Order: sequence, then structure tokens, then C-alpha cells
Amino acid sequence: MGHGSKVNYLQPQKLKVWLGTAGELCVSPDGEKTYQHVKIFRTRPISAPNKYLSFRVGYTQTEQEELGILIDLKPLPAVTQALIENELDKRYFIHQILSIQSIKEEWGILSWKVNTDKGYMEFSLSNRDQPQIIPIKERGRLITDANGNRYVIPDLKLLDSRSRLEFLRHSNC
Amino acid sequence: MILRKELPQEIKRFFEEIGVQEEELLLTTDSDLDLEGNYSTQWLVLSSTRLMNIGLKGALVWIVKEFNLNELTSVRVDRRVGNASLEVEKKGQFYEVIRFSTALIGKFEGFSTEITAVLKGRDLIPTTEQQGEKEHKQKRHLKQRLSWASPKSTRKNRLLPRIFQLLKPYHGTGVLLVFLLLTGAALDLASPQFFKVLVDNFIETVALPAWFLAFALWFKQNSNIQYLLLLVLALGLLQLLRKIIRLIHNGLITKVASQIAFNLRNRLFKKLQELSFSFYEHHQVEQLMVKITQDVEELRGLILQATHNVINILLLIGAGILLSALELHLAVYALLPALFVIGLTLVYWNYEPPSYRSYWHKKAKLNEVLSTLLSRLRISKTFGQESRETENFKYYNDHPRQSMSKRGRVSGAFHPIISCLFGLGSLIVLYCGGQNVLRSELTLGTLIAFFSYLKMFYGALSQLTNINQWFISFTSTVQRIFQILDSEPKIKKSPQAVDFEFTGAISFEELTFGYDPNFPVIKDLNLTIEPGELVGIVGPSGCGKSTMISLLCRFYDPDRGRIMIDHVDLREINPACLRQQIGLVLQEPYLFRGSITENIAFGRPDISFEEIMAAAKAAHAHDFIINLPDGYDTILGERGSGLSRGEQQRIVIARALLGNPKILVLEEATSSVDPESEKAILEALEVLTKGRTTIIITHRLSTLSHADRIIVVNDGTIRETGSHQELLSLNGLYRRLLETQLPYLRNQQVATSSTRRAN
Repeated sequence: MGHGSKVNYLQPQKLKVWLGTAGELCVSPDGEKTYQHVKIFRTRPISAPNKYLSFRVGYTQTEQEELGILIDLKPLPAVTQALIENELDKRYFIHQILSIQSIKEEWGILSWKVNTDKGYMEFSLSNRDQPQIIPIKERGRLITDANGNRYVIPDLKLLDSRSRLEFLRHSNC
Repeated sequence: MILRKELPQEIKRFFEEIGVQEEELLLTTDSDLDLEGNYSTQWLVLSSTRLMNIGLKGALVWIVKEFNLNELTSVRVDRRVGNASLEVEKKGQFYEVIRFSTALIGKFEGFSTEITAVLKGRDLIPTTEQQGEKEHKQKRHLKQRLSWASPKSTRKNRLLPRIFQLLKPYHGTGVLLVFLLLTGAALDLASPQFFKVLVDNFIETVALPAWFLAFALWFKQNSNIQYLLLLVLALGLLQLLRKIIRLIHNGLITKVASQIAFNLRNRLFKKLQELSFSFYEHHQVEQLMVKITQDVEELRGLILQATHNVINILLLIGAGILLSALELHLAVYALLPALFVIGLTLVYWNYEPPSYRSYWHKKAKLNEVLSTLLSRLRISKTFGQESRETENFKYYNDHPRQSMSKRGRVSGAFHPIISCLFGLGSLIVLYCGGQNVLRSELTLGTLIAFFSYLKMFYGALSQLTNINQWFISFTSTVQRIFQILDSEPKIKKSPQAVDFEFTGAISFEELTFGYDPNFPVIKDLNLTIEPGELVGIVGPSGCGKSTMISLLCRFYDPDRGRIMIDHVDLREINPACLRQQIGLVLQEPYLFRGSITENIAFGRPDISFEEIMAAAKAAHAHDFIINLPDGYDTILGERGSGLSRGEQQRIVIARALLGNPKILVLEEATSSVDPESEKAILEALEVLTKGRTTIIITHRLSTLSHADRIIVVNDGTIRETGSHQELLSLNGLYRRLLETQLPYLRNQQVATSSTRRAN
């Protein structure tokens, strides 16, 4: 286990992942010991979302222990990848913006109306400052609204021209 | 350091009379104050048996004070305000021996050390130096220590060549600009001639001038209508060409000025990166920001203005010549007011420079005050001082207003007076010229052309009355910029600098240093640390602990003595090699706006993410980072805002550990964190310090229980050294420091054991 001062790297060929009776994620890092209610954290959710995944057990931060770090999902079987991605989706609930209907500014607040992969959404940003709109790679953007909900535009170029123009008009990021 | 300054003849004769052999004198030097605080020469003389203060006034010599060495137990320098005195301890009492001004403190501190050595029975080898040579060296050293700017930036007669040097890369464009300026001026000056022809020859029906006939013939025009058409077209073309030239000129000069500003800003920033810490003690960050942004931008504007000045000079000269060529006696009438204007301008130029400087300084002070007030906004709100701060700001805000108001009153009067004088000149010309036209001594066209040139002449002269202000702004802005560019870093890389892998052996040898050389903070300190040793350094605030670390990291060079790492003088080690192998964790966690990954890997772009994670794990930072929504991609605010102090500190520890440094220095690493973070940090440190030479500076003495050795520093010297138990049993300074934190210790009985005191 990776408790202490050294990082433990999980071996993809030895790693076993399955769902328990209550739908919880169960993991055996080395084929011997088994852990239930395992949580998976992205160490780099923005720059490398499917690399360096941290497998952890424990409820609170102080109770948590890290089982190890999985460097890359790709070497794992498709079924295992799917289970892990499903677990990651539970932890990282992010709306993907498909199009922007409008962005209006009033009294320093930007009100967004967008269509996302989870349906139509309205949200506000408290101001136009950059901490709430973070670049992802070259053309992606991660937006955090005033309530902490997250929205991602994977690639500005893939938005329709009207949405892109609306975004660029109201964001200097 | 041993010094025997050449004694004056009067004292030598005196010593002969009292039987003191000059050969037996070990130390001799003079002071500038007597014991009553008057400026007077007194000499401190140390022989093998006596310490004396010898008074000298003209030919009169007397012993002011005298002590037998075998009665003395110690020597010290008692610092006061503006002066100090050398004191000796005799039978438990301190006696003043000699007094001196602040400038001589460094010298007498050295003497104090040497006299102490003599009292302890060490042999000294006296060295005689020429009178004045030592003082000269000290003065030069002091000047070097306190001065950071090269004098060449402040010498005005050196500025012009340096400005040309600055503009050298643009000489080609400069030639083109000059051509455009000359052409533009020529076109401006040509227009009135065509108007003259228009009025004289088509309105007044005077015969066409020969040059115009030749011009028309070239275009095969030979009737009056054709001539008129040609004239109008020529005027139009002149105007068009003038506009095109202006367009090209403006584009070129803007590009050149912007490029110069860009290059200067880069050079300034690069220079600031090279300068040593001592430079930043004498300069506020706000001032430097003003220099890089505002001053460079001002220079850009002044360069743009320079070409307007050149145009005005060309127009002044050209219009002046043409005025004289058209009608000499009218030109004289026109020049009379111009002479008054020139005289008034010279007076105004005398007034302008100090008022401009005053305004600039007040503006700069306002910027400085604003920055300070905003940075302490939190404190002012905590103590409910908002109104007071507002009043404070108003006070400083008023100064530039007053200064500008005063300047405005003078310049507000100056320019209208100039305009009146020019207006008077025009009226004189109108009257005299009009008379000549009525008497048919002058054509109307000539008078109109004359007025056009007069307008150009007066216009150019009026613009040039501001040339002095431009010149002052330009030279002072350039001076301020060159002050930075000319600054030399105090800490330089030796040409023989070496790179090697440290084992971690450190020694401080006879180390003396002061931020102000007259007031040493570290005095003759000797300390050896073995590789892998965990050493704690403790002491009261201001005793020199942090200074030792700054010297070890070579942020400063010592005034005397040296620091060795693995028996190599620090000054001979490549600074890059030193930085890589010393991990430094300061009390203030220096984090910047960027991701956690960037903050940990700062200065190590080649580092892998695995290494970053390993460092974070070792620093007990990995777990809390993973639990942040964006993990290692979390963007930290200014100075690491968004994390608790303890979390910030753990990231800084991770940064320090990257690269596996052989020497780890922790300065108050846990002093401002919560107990949980402190526990996490201390747990991390227990592992991290194994096999690594570690120096921990802390006020929290309880964190040093695992230290191999604890050094107790006070007033720049080592007072006690030993393990925790050994120092407790000494019942000295360490115990007193510990008792202030752990009062129960006062009641504890401590078993005696063998101890070591610092020598």
C-alpha cells in the first residue's frame, strides 16, 4: 500500500476491479488482498484526466489510504476501463457544453444559458475573472459556476460559430 | 585582522620618554572622539602588558586611561546611537577605554576580537600598514557594500553616447526617418510658393515667374486656364505627398519606439533577475515596477515626441531663411518678438527642471504610498483604521496636485504671453507689409506667402519652447532606466567556479557579516557541521540565525571569514550547483499563481510528474492535493491563496525536496501552521532528514528533540552548543529560552552531566 512517504504504482496486469453486491467498487491491486468501497481520484483532472489515477479507501481525507497510482487506463481490459470510468464519472460530475444560447452581463454577473450533455442549464459566474474559466490544453475551457458546478468545453472550435462568438465576446480567457 | 597604524611622531617620542618600546606594541589605531564626546584624536594602543588610551592635542600627549592586561577578563564594544565605546571588564566591572563614532565601529569590533585573543594568550603577528591605507580600503569596501549603482549612469555627459548606443540597431530606419522628415519639411515649405503664384499671377495678374513657366512647359501647358489647373493640381499633390510621408513616418517611428520599449523592458527584467538580494533591500518592488512599466512607456512617448521636435527645428530654420529671402526688412520686424520669446523661454527653462523633478518625485511617492496602503488593507480593516488610511492617502495625493498646480500657474501664464508676443509680431508685419503692398513695393501674393512662413516660424518656435521639458523628461527617464541596467550584482560567479556533488559537510570559519557593514550581525562565528547531521539553531529574535542561512545560501557574501561546503569555499562553487543541492524551506511559503504542479516543479521544467508526486508524498502533501477538485492541476491564487498555511508549507517542502538535496534548511517551517499540519510536517521531516545534512531554525524548541546538536546563538555569536539534555543541564540561555515556552521546566531538577560550552 502507498501509505507513508513513497508512491506505490499499481501493475495493470495484476489489477482486478469489479463491482460488489451493493454496487461498490472492489479492487485487488495484486491479486491477493481485496478492498471494498474503493474511490478513484484523478491526480490531474484537467491536464491528464485518464492518467495517474489514485485508488483510495477511506471516507474522510484523514482516514484515507492510498492503494496506489495507476499510470494509464489504456493497458487495462475494456471492461475494467469501463468500471473505472464509471466510478470517475460519479466523482467528477461535469457538464459538457454542446452549445451556448446566450451569455448576458448585468451588474458584474454573467448569466449563461447553455445546452449540455445533461440537458439545458442556466448558471452564473460572479464576474469575468479567469479563476472561474480555466484553459484546458489549447482550445478547451473548464468553467466553474458560482455554485461550484462544472462545465467543460472540450474544444472551442467544435462549438458552432454563434456559440463560439458568444463565448469569446464575454470571456477574455 | 591585525593592525598597527603608524603612530604620530609626538606619541612615539612620548613612548620613548616613558620607556615603551615601539616593537612591543601589538595594536595601534586612532579614534575620532574623546571620552566626553567631543571630536578629538585619541589613540588605542595595545602592548604585551598594557592597554592604553593616549590623548593627542597638538604637541601635547597624555595617557587618558590605562589598564594592565592581567587584570582584564573580557572586552566588548558597547553600541549606542551615533557612537560606541570599547569597554574592558576588570573585577566584574566594565570600564570605558575609548570612544568613537559609528563609522569606526567595524574597526573597533575587529580590535575587540584581537584584544580578546591576546587576553586568552594567543600570539599575534603584528602587521603595519600605511596610515590611511586601511581607512581607504574600508571606505572603498563600505562604498561597494552600500552602493549598487555604477556612477556611469548618473553622469549626464555620458548619457548621449549611451542613448545613441540604444538606438544603434535602428540606424537604418533612422536614416529613412531623417529622409522623410527632410522631405516633409521641404513640402511644407514649398506650398506657400504656389499660393504666391496663385495670388500674384491669377488674381493680381502679375507675370508668371520663370520657374513656374518651366514647370508648366514640362507638362506642355501654355494657357492661363491650364496654368491654373496645373497650379491647383500641384498644390493638391503636395498636400497628398505630405500626408503620405506623415503616414509612413508615423508608422515607422511608432514601430521603432515600441521595439525599443519592448527590448528595454526585457533587458530591465533580465537585469533584475541577476541582481543580488542586497539590491532589493534598497529598492521597493513598487519603484521597480514603475521603472519597468511607466518609465519605459514614458520613454516610448518621448521618442515619438523627438521627431516632432526635429520637424519643428527644420521648419524654424527653413521658414526663417525663406522669410528673410522674401522680404528682409519684414523678417526683421517678425524676429523682434521672437527674441523676446527666446529670452522669456530661457528664464522659464531655469524654473522648469526643479519643478518637474519635484512633481515626478511626488507622483512616484504617491504610487509607493498607494501600494503600501493597499497591501495593508486587511490590517487597516482589522483595526478599523479605514478613515485614517483615507486621510493618509489624501495627504499624499495632494502633493502632486499642489506641485502641478504651481507648475500650471507658471506654464499657464507663460504660453499665453508667448502667444501675445507672436500675435504682436503678426500685427506689425501686417501693418508694415500692408503699407508696402499699398505702395506697390510688395505683391499681395508675397505678403500672403510671408504670412504662411511666419505662421510656420512662430508655430515651430512655440513648440520648441517645450523642448527643454522634453529634454529633461528624456534624460531623467533614461537615467532612471540606466540606473538599473548599470547595477552590478554583488554576488558574482567566480571564473573558477566548480560543480560537484555535495556530501553535506559545512563549516563557518571566522564569519563576520552585517547588512550594514558598521553593524555586524554575525561576529567571528565558527561552526562545523558533519554530513548527515541534524543541527538546530536557536536564539532570541535578531541574533543572526536567519542571516547564517542567507550566507549559507549565498544570498550575501561575508564581510570577513568564509563558509565552506565539503572544504570548498562557497564563493568558488557554481551558484547553480549550490541552489540545486540546498533545499530551502522558509517561514513564508513562497507560492505563486499557477497550478500545484508548477509550484512544486518551479525551476525544474525537466522534472517528471512521477518525481513531483514522490516529492509531494514525502512532504505529506499528496493526500490533501488528491482531495482537491482539480488535484495537482489546482490553480493557486496569489501567494498560494486557496490553501491553508500548513498545506502551503507542505507544497514548499515538496519543492525543496525535488532534486534530492544534500543539504536541507528549514527556517521556522512549522511556526505558523496548525498543530495537525505541524504534526504532518514533522513526521515528514523525520524521514526526510535521514542521511541529509539538515539545519533547522526554529523558535519552537520542542521540535528539536531529535536534533543531533543544538546551537544557541545570541548577538551574532555561538553561546552554547550540545544536545537538548546537555543544554538543559547548563542552566544557560537555552534553558531560559525553553522555559519561556514550557514553564513547567522551571520547577524541574536537572541532573548534571558533562557539557560543552562554546569557545
